[in-house]
Amino acid sequence: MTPSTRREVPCCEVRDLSKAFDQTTVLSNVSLSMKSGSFTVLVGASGCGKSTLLRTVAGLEPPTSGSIWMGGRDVTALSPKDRDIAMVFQSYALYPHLSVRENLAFGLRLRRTPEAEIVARVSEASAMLGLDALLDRLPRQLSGGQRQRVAMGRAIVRRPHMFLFDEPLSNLDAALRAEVRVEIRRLHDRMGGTTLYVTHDQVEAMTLADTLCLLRGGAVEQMGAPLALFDRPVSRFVAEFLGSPKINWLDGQVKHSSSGLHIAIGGKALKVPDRYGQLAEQPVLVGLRPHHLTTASDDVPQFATMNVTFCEALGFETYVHGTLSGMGDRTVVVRVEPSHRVTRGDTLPIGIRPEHTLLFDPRSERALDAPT
Amino acid sequence: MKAQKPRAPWKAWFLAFSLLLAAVGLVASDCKAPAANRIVLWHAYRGAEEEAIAQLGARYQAETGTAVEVLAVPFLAYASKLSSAIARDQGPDVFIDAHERLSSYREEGLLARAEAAFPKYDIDRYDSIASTVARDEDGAAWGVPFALKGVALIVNTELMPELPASVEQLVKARNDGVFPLAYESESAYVHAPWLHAFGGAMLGPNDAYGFTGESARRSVAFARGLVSSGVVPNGADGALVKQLFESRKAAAIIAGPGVVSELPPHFPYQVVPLPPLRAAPSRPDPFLTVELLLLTPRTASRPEVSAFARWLASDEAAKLRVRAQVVANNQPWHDDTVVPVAMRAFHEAALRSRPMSTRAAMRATWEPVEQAIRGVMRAAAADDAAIDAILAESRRRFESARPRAVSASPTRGLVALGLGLLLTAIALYRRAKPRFWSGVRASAGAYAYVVYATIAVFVLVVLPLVAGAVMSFFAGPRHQMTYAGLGNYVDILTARGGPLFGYGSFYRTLLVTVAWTIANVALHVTIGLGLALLLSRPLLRAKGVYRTLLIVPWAVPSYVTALAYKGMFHQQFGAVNAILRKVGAEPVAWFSHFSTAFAANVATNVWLGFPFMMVVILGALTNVPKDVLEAADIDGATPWQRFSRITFPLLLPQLVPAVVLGAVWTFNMFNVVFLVSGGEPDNQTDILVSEAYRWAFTRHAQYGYAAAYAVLIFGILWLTSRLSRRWQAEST
Ligand SMILES: Nc1ncnc2c1ncn2[C@@H]1O[C@H](COP(=O)(O)OP(=O)(O)OP(=O)(O)O)[C@@H](O)[C@H]1O
Ligand SMILES: [Mg+2]
Repeated sequence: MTPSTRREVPCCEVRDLSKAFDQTTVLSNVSLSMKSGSFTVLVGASGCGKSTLLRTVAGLEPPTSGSIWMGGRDVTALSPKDRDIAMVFQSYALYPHLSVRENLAFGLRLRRTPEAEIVARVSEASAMLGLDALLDRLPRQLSGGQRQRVAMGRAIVRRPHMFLFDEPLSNLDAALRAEVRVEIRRLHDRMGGTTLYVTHDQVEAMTLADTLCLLRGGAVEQMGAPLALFDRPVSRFVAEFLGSPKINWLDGQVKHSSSGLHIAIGGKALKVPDRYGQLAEQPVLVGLRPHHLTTASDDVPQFATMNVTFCEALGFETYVHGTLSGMGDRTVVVRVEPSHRVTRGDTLPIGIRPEHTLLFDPRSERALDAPT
Repeated sequence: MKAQKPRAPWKAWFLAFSLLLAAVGLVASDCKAPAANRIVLWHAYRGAEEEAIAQLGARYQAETGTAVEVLAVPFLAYASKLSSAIARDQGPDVFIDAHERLSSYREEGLLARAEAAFPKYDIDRYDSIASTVARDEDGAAWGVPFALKGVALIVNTELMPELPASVEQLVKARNDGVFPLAYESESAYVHAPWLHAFGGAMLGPNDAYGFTGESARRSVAFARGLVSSGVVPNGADGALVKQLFESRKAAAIIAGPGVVSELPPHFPYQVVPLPPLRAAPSRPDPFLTVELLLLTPRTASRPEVSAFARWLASDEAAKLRVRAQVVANNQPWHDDTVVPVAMRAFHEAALRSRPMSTRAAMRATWEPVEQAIRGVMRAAAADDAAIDAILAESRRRFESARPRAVSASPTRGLVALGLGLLLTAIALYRRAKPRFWSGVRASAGAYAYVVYATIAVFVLVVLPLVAGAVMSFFAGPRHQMTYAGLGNYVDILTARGGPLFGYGSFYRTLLVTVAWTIANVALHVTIGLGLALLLSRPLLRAKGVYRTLLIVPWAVPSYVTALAYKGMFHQQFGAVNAILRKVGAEPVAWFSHFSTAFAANVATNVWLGFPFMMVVILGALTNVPKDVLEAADIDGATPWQRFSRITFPLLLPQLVPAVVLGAVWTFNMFNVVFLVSGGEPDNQTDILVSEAYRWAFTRHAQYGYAAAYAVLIFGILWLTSRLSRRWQAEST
C-alpha cells in the first residue's frame, strides 16, 4: 500500500464521547475528527483525560457514551485487535521475554503473516530506526532511547491505519527528545497513516501537529492548526497554556475617544487591533506575549517603564522579569536582545507591538473576538 | 570528627545466647534429675482409661504428698519415645505397656525386675495368664499385670433380643437395612479369632510365618463369605464399626471396651464372649494383650517409686479403675458392687483369649497378613487355588522383609570415610581464594550475625541428616545394630534379589513416586493457574471471599483432610460412591485397584496442594505489567494468545521454583499416601517415603534399611533440584 491509497481512506472520528470511571467523569462530550494522513496532537494539563481519550480510541477502555468511527465504520464495540491501530505506550510496554526482533514481529506472527514477509518488514523497520545491531537483544539490555525506538518499530511493522502515541518521549532526555520528535514526524509523513499523539509538552505539540486539540477538564477547549491556537486563543486558558514563557497579563479598560477605540492601562493608551471591530466600554484582560513586548526604540515607542526583578539570559535571547510602573503589580516578562545587559534593579523602557494584543473578558475569560 | 568505633553487636548477642543456653541447660538438667521424690508415669491410654489413670495419680499425690506426674503419650510414638527417653535417663519411673513389647524392652535394657518393687510378688493376686506373660523363661517377673485388652461381641439387645449361641446363628439373624455383624474385616487383629478357630496361629514356632495352609485358607474363605453375603460390611474401619453400632445399623459388633464406654446412656446392649464357630474345630479366641506395669532400672530402687507402683497395682486401686478397663487383679471381680456388667463380660472374654506372642517377629506379621486378607476379600474369584496363591505371596513378603544377616568389616568403611574427608579438605583448600582467610577475619563481625542461625541449622538439620546417613550403614534392630557397609544399599538397589520391577522393589516404588509427583504437580499447576487467572480478573466481584475460601484447603491440617478423603472414598459408605450410585453409576472399590487408589490419593493431594500454586501464581500475575498485556491486545492477540505468549512466559520465572518446591513436597508427601490409600492395594501405591516408613516401623524395625531409603530419596531430590536449577539458568 502506498501513501496515496491511504489518503483515500476516510478519517477517524470521535463523536460525543463521554467516559466516567465509577462516579468521576473524565471525558465529557468530546468530538474529534481526523483527516486521513493527518497528525493530531492532544495536549492539556496533567489529568485532563488525554490518555483516557487515546485509550478509548484504541479500544482499551469502553466509552460511557458516544461512538468512535474509523474508515466509515462504527468501531465502538470492537476490540483493539479489530481496529487496525498501533500504539506506542509511554512506558513502551515491550514484551520483556522476547528479543527485539520478536518484539517487532509479534503482531505479524499473530496475524499469521508469511515468514518471508515478516523478515522483510522487520528488517525494513529496523533499518528505518537504526535497530539492526540490537535485533537479538532483550528489552532489558537496551537504553531508554533504544527501547523507545523498538516501541515505534513495533507499531511501524504492522502498517496500521492509525498510530496512537501516549507521551512517547517523556522518558527521554531533552536532546534526544528533540531528535526523536523530528523523526516521528518524518516517519509519519513516510508511512502515511493517521496519527493521534498525546503530549503535555507544548513544543512537541506545536512542532508535530497538523491539528492541535487542547483538552481542559475532559472537554475540548480549542482545536485547530497550532498557530491558530497560538495566535487566536479562544480563551485565557488556551492563551496561557501555549507559549513559553507564559503570556503577560495587564488589566485595562476599553475607552472610546476622539481618535477611536483604545485600551487604557495605568493612564497609558494602547491601540485596539482592528480585528476586534467595535467594542463596548468595558474592563478587559490584556494578553501580551513576551516577544510582543520589547525595549523601546525608534521603531517601537516607549509605553511603560519596567522595574527589573530578575533576568534570564539564555544566550540567544534574554527574558527580563519585572513590573510595569503604574500598571499594577502583575509580573511581566519581556524578551530582549541578548546584547542588552540588564540586571536586577534596573529600569527598562518598554514598547509594545499593538497589533498582537489579545483581549479577554475578565469574567468569562473568553477572547473578545472568539466566535460565540 | 572522631570516627565512632562501631559497637560490637555480637557481644550482646553472645550474652543473650549464652543466657538462653544456660536456661535450656537448666530446664534439661531439671528433666534429667527429677525433684527428689517426684514420680513420672507414662501411659498411652485415651478416653475413660486416661481419665482413670490421671485420677489415680492425683489421688495418690493427695494421700501421700508425693508428687506424681502422669503423662499420656500418643500410642504411635510410644515405644520409640520410651526407648530413646529411657536411654537418655529422662524417661518415666513407671510406665504401662503391652506385654508383646516386653522382650524387646528387656533386650534393650529398659526394664528393672518387678521383684525390685514387689519383694513378695503375690502371683495369686492377678490373673494367671497375665502373670505368666509377665515372666521370662526362667520365671523371673519383669512387670506386674495391670489390665487385659481384647475384643468381645457387643450385641444390640433390641435388634437381637436372643443372644446368639453360635456365630452361625448370629449370622442368620438378618434384618432389613441392618448388618447382623460388623467388625474390622481387614484387620489382622480382629480376624485372628477365625484363624484361631480353624486351628491356626499368626506366628508359628521359630518365628515361622503362620498365616498359611489349611487354617489360614479356611479362615479367610469364611471371612470373605461373611462380607460377600452382605452379613458384614465391606472394609469397615474401627470408627465405622462404632458408628454402625451406634446408629443401629449393625446388630452386633466385635470390638473392645472403648466402644461401650462411649455409647449413649440407656443404649440397649450386652457384651458376651465370642460365641463358638460350629464350622471350625476350635473356639474363636481373640488375641489377648496384657498391659503391664513396668519399672525402669534407674528408679526401681527408689522406695517412693516402688511404693507408688505397689499402690497402682493394688486391689484398692484396681477397684477404682475397673469401671474404665479390665483390670488384671482378681479380687475386684468378686465384688459385684464395683464391677459394671459390661466390664465383667469383657473380663470373661479376656480369660478365654489367647495372649499374643511376645516375639519381635510378631509385629512383622501384621502387614502381610492384612494384605492377604484384603487380597482375598477383593479377589474376583476365591477358590482354594486362588487363596493359596495370595497366602503364598503374603508369606513371600514376610520372608523377604526379614532382616538379612549382612555384616561387613568396618575397616573398609573407615578407610573410605578417611579418604573422603581428606579429599574434601584438599578440594576446599584448593578452591579457597588466595585471600580467603584474611577475608574471613575482616568480616568476623558479619559472621557473628549468622552464627546462631548456623548453629540452629546445624543442630536441627545437618546433625539429623548425618545421623540418618550414618545409620544407613548399619543393620539390625535398634539396640543391636551391626555395621553392614553398603549392604543396605546393595540390597535396595538389587531389589533384594527379586525382579527389578517386581512388587515392592525400589525401582517400582520409584516409578510410582515419579508418576505420583508428576500427576500431582501437573494438576496443582493447572488448577492453581486456572483459579488464579479467574481471581485476577478485574471485573470479578467478591474476590476476597473466593480467595479466602480457596485458601482454606491449605489451612486445614493435611492429615485431617486426608482422613476425610479416606472416608469419602470408602466403598460402601463413602460420599463418592454415594454420588456415583445417585447418578446411576457402578460404585467403585477405590482401594482395590492400583489406578483407582492412586487416583484417590492424587485427588486428596490435589485438594491440599492447589492453593499453594494458586497463591504463588496470583503473586506472579501482579508482576505481569498491565500495559504489556494491552500492547498485546493492540498487536492483535486473542485472549488465548495473550495468555500463552505473554502471561505464561512471564509467569515462568516464579513458577519454576514453585514447581520444584511442590515437586519435592509431593515426592515426600507421606501423610496422604499413608492415610488415604495406606499403600493399598498391596503396597502398590506406596511411594518411597511411605515404603521407608514401613521398613522402619512395620517390618522388623529395620532402621538402617529405612535410613538407606531416606538417603536415596535425598540423593534423588538433590540431583533433581540441581538439574532443574542448571536448566533454569541455561534457559534464561
Ligand atoms: N482506571 C481509572 N479509574 C479511575 N479514574 C481514572 C482511571 N484512569 C484515569 N482516571 C482518572 O481520569 C483522569 C484523567 O486521566 P488520564 O490518565 O487520562 O490523564 P492524562 O491527561 O493522561 O494525564 P497525564 O498527563 O498526567 O498522563 C484523572 O483524573 C485520573 O485520575
Ligand atoms: Mg497520560
